[in-house]
Amino acid sequence: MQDWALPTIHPQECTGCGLCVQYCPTAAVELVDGKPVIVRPADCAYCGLCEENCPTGAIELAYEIGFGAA
Amino acid sequence: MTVTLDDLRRVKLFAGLAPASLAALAPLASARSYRDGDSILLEGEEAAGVLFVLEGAARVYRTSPEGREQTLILLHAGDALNLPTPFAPSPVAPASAVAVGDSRLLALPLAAFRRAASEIPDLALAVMGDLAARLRHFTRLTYDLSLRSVRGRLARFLLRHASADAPSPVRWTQEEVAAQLGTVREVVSRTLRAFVREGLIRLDRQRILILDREALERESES
Ligand code: SF4
Ligand code: SF4
Repeated sequence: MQDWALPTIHPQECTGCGLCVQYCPTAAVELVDGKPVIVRPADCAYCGLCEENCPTGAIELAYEIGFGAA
Repeated sequence: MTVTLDDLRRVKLFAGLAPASLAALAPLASARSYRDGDSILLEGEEAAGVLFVLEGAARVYRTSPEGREQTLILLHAGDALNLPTPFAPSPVAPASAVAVGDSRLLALPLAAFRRAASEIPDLALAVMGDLAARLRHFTRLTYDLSLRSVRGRLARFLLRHASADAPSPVRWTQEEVAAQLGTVREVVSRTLRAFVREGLIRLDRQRILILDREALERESES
């Protein structure tokens, strides 16, 4: 599994409203042909604002669960 | 898709059956492959057979009128999906099921399975054992949903799914976690943030790391 996870986009559920782009603090996501694409993967902070503001659940962040040190 | 004796042996219920019994079931069985997310069974539909997971996994869930999903159980290779159906008064499915990951399921006609269970005492006992385990699962789930707080449920979920082995960890979206806990994504998100503030967990990009296991265990009792 890649270490630099990125949000998963489900194009079928996406309406192309662009809210994810508007809320992304790092401009990592842009609309390409009406659908979001993580165009600057290195800039994605995995902050989850795109997911939180997407009205249709078309962009999602997945998490692993583990044990860690503070 | 043809079903081999090896396929049948993967079903936990059939593990103790004599080769002759397995050989009698094999020609009645059929197998089908599903892609990740494919629907296996729809709530309200009649099930044509009793289904068993051979490969992959299946998630059984119900949907509320508002579209909220509650996961009832996650089944893995070897598990029966709708074991009560051949013995129930109606073959209508009480819940839906989808494939989790690419999966393969085996189906046996309801009447054939009923007949086998009435003829093979070991199979009948195995069926009862499986149903008893399921009853216990749903008793726990009912307790969780009615008496445990969302904080408690989330704490328990994190503890149960935390893997110490890093190589191929499962990734969960907040939507999936919400469906498991019987709540909505926003509540999962808010509760995770509260756990971070309280020092129980830490978010490290795509990792949720448990920092204070004991406190989380105490929380999981709430
Ligand atoms: S997770 Fe944050 S940084 Fe990454 S694309 Fe979404 S809003 Fe942008
Ligand atoms: S906010 Fe959601 S629906 Fe709107 S463009 Fe982004 S992914 Fe698509």
